[in-house]
Amino acid sequence: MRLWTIGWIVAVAVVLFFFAAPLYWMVTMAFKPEIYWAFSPPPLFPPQTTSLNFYRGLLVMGGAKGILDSLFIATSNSLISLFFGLLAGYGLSRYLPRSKNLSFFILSQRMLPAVAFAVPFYLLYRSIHLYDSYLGIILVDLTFNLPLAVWMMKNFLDEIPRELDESAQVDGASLFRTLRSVVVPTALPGIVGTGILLFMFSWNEFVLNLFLTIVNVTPLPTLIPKFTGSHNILYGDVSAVALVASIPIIIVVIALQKQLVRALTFGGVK
Amino acid sequence: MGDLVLESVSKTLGSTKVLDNLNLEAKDKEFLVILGPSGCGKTTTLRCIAGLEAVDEGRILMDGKEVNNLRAKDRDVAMVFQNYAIYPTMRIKDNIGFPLKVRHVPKQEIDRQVREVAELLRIENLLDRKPGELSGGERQRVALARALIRKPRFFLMDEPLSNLDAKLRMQARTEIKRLQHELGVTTIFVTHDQAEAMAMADRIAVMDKGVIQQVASPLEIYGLPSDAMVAGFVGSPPMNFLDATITRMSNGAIAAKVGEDAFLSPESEGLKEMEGRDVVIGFRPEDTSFNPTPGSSSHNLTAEVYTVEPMGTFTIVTLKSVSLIKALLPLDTKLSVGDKGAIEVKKDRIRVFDKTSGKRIV
Repeated sequence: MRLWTIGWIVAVAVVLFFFAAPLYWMVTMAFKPEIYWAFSPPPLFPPQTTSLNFYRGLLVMGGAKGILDSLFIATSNSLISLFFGLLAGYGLSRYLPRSKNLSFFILSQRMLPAVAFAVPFYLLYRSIHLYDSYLGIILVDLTFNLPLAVWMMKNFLDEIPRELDESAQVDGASLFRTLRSVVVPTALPGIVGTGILLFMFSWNEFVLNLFLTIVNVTPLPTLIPKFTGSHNILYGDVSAVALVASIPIIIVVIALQKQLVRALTFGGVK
Repeated sequence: MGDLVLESVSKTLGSTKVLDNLNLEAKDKEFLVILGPSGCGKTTTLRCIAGLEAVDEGRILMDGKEVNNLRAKDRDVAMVFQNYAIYPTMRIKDNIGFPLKVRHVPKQEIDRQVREVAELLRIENLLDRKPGELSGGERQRVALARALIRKPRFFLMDEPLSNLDAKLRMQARTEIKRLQHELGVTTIFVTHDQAEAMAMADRIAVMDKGVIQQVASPLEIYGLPSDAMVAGFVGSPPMNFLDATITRMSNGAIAAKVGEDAFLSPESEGLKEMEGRDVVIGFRPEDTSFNPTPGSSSHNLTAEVYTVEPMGTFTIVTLKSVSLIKALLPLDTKLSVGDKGAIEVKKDRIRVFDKTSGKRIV
């Protein structure tokens, strides 16, 4: 085998280790009884296993609700962002083709740090009774997901020849029919990939969730710090919750990895 | 019925006036070709007819009715685009049936008509495939099928043959011409290929810089071009042009002086009134011959053979004279580079153009 190939394999193995090691630690910690949590040196394979971490983390500490809340918020927000992002992106692509500056201005809203508008939103939400509500969080996540959705959809739609739309119009299709029957099916890989990215960003959002939720809505990023007590950290419980939470995401990403790669390389996020 | 009239149509894109006071007519069942170089406005004209672009000035009338404010979907036109614009995610049968589906035609009727059109264009075996599995020629026929199924008033075709190889292009040309004749649908066909235009058109409209230069039958466009632009664009190899001055020769005859002591004599009584006028002489390569043993006349247009290109059915000889001149000679021509002689042109085939306006005078 050539030295070059060996070098590549070693490099990939190193990178893989950095990504896989925390996952491995999370999986083993989820099944470790409490006595092994702070063992030194930590065992690579737990001598005993337990399911108590899952029971405590998911049912006692509210991890199951946290997963469901995050799933609901991220899914709803992604779908809304995709819907409006697609329409706005189509408008920019087809009716304002030289709108690079406008597109970038829209995307630039994404660059604002969430903490900059967390407090204003807190005050607003308290006054209009959206504080600690699902609707409130779904709407506020639009502030960072919608600009990204518009930008990415515009770039994907730019890749689709305008002649397809025009052909549909000449064939007798209305604008909505053109979108439904021609544009969306053609752009579907990009739409799916964009949706996955939007889902991931919403799923991982912490600052806005921290400021705008407390009891009724408990998304995972704000729930997990509660596993830290004054005397100890419930490593096993939090690992169990994280493991259960990550399984559907991993399955979706593996199933749709082609679309995700396409979204990252074909759209505006390079 | 399928009468189309464009009345004083103008269109500006950005700061460029793409169409300038365009007037054009296509009669019912006619195959009208819009021919011109790239950027002359022929595709914009087609898009205005289709309703994909709005005109800035003027009117478009279909069967006497103004359609300026009608959307593309309401104009009863079918268009074949240069890259065919076949919907990539639909099967071929769904592509072809799409225009009927949007009009809520019953599914059974759509299936019947799709099969009928597919048989006409010999693409029955492609109906269950996706566009990505088809060759260029097959896609072109699918695009045609999708246009045909509508039974529209007008066919609009935007350089549909330009993406095909030479052999397929010839076949497709014949097929489109035959179909149009059988169906009797008024067709507006855009191309930059003058051979395509000559072969297919009932009439050709030659365009340049947003303006129609001439509308006539192919033979008239070829034999009696209205100006130097039309003359130079139509014909392959293109027409030869020489700057000349209408002069009285030593023997009293009026001729066109093209060189130091070289004359060409167009056959026309009208030359007498043009004595002293600067003009442009044009003559086609097939009307040009080369005489290696010219007579003793000192007024011959002498030349030397520059290149010899055997083309299979004829030979293109480039002659170096006052400028490079091309002649189409028989295949068995025995000329070599460097041979000297005189250029001879059929007198009745010499065209004279005004030097300033380019308009044909003779």
